[in-house]
Amino acid sequence: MSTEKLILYAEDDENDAFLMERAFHKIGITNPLRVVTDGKMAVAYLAGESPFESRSENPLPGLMMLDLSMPGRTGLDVLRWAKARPALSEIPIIVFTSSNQESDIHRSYLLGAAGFVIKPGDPTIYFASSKEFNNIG
Amino acid sequence: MLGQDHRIINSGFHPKQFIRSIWQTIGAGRVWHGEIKNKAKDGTFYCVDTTIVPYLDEEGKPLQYIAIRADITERKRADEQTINALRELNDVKAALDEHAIVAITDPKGKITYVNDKFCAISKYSRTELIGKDHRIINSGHHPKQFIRSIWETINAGRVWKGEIKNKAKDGTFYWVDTTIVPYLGTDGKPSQFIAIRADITDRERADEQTSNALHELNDVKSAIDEHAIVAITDARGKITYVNDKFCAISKYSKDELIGQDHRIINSGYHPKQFIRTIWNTISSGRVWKGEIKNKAKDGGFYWVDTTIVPYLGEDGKPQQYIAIRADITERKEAENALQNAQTELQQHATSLEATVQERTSSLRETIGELEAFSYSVSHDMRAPLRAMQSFSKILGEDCGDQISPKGKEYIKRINSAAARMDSLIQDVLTYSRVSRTDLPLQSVDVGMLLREIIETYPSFQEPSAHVELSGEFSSVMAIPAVLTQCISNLLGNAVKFVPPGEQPNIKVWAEERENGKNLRLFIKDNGLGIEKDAHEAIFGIFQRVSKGYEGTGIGLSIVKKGVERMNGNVGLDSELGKGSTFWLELVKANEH
Repeated sequence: MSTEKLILYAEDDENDAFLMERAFHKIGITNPLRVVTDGKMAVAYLAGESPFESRSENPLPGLMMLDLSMPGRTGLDVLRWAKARPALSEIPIIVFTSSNQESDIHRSYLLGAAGFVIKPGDPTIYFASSKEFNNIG
Repeated sequence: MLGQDHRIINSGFHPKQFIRSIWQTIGAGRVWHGEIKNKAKDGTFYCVDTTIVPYLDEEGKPLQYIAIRADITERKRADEQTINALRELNDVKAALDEHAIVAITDPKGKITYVNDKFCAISKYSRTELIGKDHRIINSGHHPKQFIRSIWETINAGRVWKGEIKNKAKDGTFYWVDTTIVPYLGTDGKPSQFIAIRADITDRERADEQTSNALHELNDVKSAIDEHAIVAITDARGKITYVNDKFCAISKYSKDELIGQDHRIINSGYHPKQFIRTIWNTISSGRVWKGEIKNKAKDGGFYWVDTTIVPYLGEDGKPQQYIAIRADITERKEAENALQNAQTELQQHATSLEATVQERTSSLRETIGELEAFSYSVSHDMRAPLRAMQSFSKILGEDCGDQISPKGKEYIKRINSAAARMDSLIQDVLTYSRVSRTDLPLQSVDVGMLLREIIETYPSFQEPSAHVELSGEFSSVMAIPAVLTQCISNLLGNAVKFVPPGEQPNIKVWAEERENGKNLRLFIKDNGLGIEKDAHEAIFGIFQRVSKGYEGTGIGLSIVKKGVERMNGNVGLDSELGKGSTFWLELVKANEH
């Protein structure tokens, strides 16, 4: 990880955020992980709006992980919004959700998601999915 | 006059020869008798019946002549008239003979004369007729009273005129227009009868036909009167005739109807356009047929099946209209009742449809809520579970050295309880998804699907299990995802419920059912088997038969629900301790 690009994680569940950070740490991913706790915050971060005006402090991510079920703007809303903006459309976004509904999977890929990962019950699987991220960071 | 030559009264009428012969006769001393036309002094002529007697001397020479004359002028004139009259009569007779059938009888009816036409029409010869009683041509058609009245008339010296039917010699009949003139003798009694006839057989036959036709028409009319409602109106619609049935149905008397406008029975039910169409039709000389609602005197209504026939005058315009009707009130009422029933039914159907729509929309709402609920179950309820699983695992990993073996055992139990709850939630979601799916059925290759499933799950492969596919598997009509779920569940059960330590040995095959319309897929295991009593209950949701085996009790419910959703059936053949054979049957896909 030479460039140490930031990974943005939109997740309202503190447990999931914690487990993700732990998984990163466990397998030695050193990229900074920024967690925003709802869809609205995610959009504000990507758009550089308050409270994320400063791009030096809040750089655009090299990869984004997106929970679908969030209060306010849902993950699919954020995905649609981001993919409609040329400046953001190249950022790979991986949907990371507890939903295994086919409709969610289908719509996510349709909107331009780079991947769809169902949150595992067994945290060791986090490691496996996290490892995939090595190539992206 | 005396001493004058006799010639002075010579009229000049007689030829010289006539005069010379007189002189020769009397000059020879013979008497001359004859008629001489003389000229009087005033120039008029007169005829004298003359006898000239010569008086002779001794030598036998005429001494003098004595002329004895009588004036016969009047007699002579009458004779001339008679001759003229006879000549005229002859002409008349000839003309009559030419055109009429003439016969003369004596007072007793014996034929004394017939002309040629009489012979021709009666087909008798003259000799066959003369001297015969006139009854020889009696047809027997006329009643005795009729014949008697003829005789009475002519015997009283009056002329009789009439039409008589006679019989010819060959038995055929002919009609003659007859005039019988009695000729009276000096005693005032008829001395003979002259009958003059004209052949009217054709006319009479035509009349007879007309009369027959009239009879028939009368019969028809009375038949119609018996069965139909009849009215006649003039060209303007004024009633000129109604029959009894018309009165009966309209409840008006004849007197109340005759002379009235036909609108007296107008019900007001039909639109003006309808009435106008009727008038347009019949006034242009065409027949109109249709059903009309009329109003009776008491305000009641009646329906009539109506035919209006216009009768045209010589100018081609209708002079009168004959309307023949049949009472169809009952039928109409039945129709109306039917109509009402249909309307009511329609209303019921409409309200039912509305109810169905209402229910459907409320059901759809419920389903929507249910879907939102399932989504939240699958998404939100599983999150805390995952947290439980994850943190119990992390607890073991990160703080393992501080936890006693007992504590580690508890952590393991927390973990497996969470895993069990997760699979319960998953199965409930699958069950509801399978029940709700509205995807269309499509042709699915069962053999290919089986191989895919086996390849996907290591637990269906060696060494975990021995699964043998036997024979051919055709295609069935199914939803691929649902059929995959059903077969996976059945295979899953087959490998799961085996006595500890035994390798699951599973045989899968297919057979045709319903004359090749359906395909039944069998999955036979060497497992624990199921008691007969439990065979029905086993497909119910949350039903678990085997203790000590992991399971949610939803797997077979999903199979049953899914197969039924694909218009199929499920079943099993099993005995405790002898393994189970589960089957599912679906409609085969059409081979292309």
